[in-house]
Amino acid sequence: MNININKIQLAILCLMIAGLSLLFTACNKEGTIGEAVSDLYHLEHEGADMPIVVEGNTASKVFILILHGGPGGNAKIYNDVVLRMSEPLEADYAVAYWDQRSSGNSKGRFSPNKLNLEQMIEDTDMVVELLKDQYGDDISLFLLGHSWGGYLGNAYLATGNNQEKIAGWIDVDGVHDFELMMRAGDALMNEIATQQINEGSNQRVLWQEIKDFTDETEVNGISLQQFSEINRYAYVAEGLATTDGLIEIANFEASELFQLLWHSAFGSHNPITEATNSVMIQGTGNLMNQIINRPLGEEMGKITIPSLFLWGQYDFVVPPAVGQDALEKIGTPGHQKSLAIFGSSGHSPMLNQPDPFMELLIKFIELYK
Amino acid sequence: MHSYTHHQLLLLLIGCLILTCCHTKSFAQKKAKSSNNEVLEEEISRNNIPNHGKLRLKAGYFGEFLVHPGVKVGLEYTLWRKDKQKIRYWKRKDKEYAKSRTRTIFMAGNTAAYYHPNNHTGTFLNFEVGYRKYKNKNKKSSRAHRIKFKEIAVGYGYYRYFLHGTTLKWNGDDFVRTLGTQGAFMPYFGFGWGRDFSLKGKQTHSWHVRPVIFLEIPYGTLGLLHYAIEMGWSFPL
Repeated sequence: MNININKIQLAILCLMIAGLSLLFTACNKEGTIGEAVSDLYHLEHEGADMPIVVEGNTASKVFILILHGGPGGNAKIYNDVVLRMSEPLEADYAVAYWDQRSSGNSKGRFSPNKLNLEQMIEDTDMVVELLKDQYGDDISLFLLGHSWGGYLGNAYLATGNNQEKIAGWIDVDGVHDFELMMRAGDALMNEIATQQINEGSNQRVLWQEIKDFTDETEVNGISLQQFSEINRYAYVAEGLATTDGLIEIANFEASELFQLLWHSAFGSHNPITEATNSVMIQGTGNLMNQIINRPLGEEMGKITIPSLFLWGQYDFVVPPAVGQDALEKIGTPGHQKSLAIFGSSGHSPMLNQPDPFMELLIKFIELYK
Repeated sequence: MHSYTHHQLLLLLIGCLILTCCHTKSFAQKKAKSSNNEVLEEEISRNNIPNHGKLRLKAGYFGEFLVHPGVKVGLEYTLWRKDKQKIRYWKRKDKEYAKSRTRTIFMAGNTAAYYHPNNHTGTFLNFEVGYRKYKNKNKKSSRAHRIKFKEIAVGYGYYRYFLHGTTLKWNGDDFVRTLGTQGAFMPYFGFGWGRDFSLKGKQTHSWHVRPVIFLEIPYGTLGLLHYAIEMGWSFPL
């Protein structure tokens, strides 16, 4: 055997061995109580391995569980990108970022039949139970659902006695009725497109395209294809409204961008896993077909806990009319529910107008914690 | 008077070009053949791709991204090898040089582990079969050790991940801790390149870089594609 290794190669080998020693040093903390905690859990349930990152002030005993958008989005985006929401929240409370089944960095293997609303509700309940198991039954737990997360939150709270475990519900541009969402989105796009064309917007050619589409579109019943088309135009409209100054641009400071890049490169992100998960949950079609044909309607009346609805005025994806309908439908007493519409926001007011958004959010948590 | 059509003229022109090229090539070959046999042998020897045996140890970096640590170790066995040398004429320097080409088919057994922070540690055992082509056509004797090679490899293996953090499972009464691990099959494909330092002094190692893709099957409701980079050395045993 004839092996010659020079000093550089030896140094690199040493580095490799040092790296290897890191391989099995996964942290094993559980339920850490402190003011700047970062705990990582995985919930193994019905074939899925779903990560839950708990960050912030667990000593406060106030927890906010994020139900991310999608289906097939990821929770870490609310931590890494929406820093103006996550940082103030984590300073005072603990935030649980959970990647749902077949979303974000979730792993595992399961039958396509497990991608349905009932399973998602059960998963949500498991996460709630896990947080109470790890941090104590006395924690005050709020749900914050965004977009699809709004549908999941509404469906979860309207099921059985689930809402008894939750101190308050924050619905941010969430959907509960897809037909209403499509009809209202179509109408809002038409209205704003007409307004911008008449005002001589520089983007009037594109606005005209949206107007033509919405003039031709008639929402009668539900189809996945029509939903996809309206959804696509809604995001185009949001981009145009941002360019025209109707929606405030989400400004990032250099430090925020650096943090985002750092997390992307060295953090837990895996874009391939995230994309594959998203394709699986959208492509399987089970969940989408189920939810677009199942308006929560009457079920919303079962929700009686304090609820806050936060909406962007120019949200063409889930328009404010959907928030107004949800506010009216839930069974929460009038003085414990409210809807706030942010005048310069789109589908993500926490990005567009973080300051007024956070003011209302913290006020609500302080009131009902 | 006989007149040529455009097509005939074009064919004539192409024929002239082919004849010119053939003449140039035969001239170069003639020049090569006219050289001293000893010089030729020296050239062939200088650029020869040495055979250090069939068994090699491979070790190096393996990771999903270059920023994540990982390691891969394996044993490689050469199943088939074919050497070929040609003499070429270097017109500018009016001299000959040897061009060596070696093709090998190899098989290898590997084990690897990589660390994706706050996500998982991936490990696998795999078996691969590959094809490698070495080339050495350096004209200058000072650069004769720069043997380059390209390779492709396909393989199959068993992959297992270990989740980071605390993994909990509801057993009906309580949450219990589990290892947080699942196994999967792993088809693998890699395309790489590298250099063999066999002729540089007493060194016998080579280095390689190999981007790879592999599948984790089953995963979710389908399978998961992974991409990774391999970089390392191999040494004859």
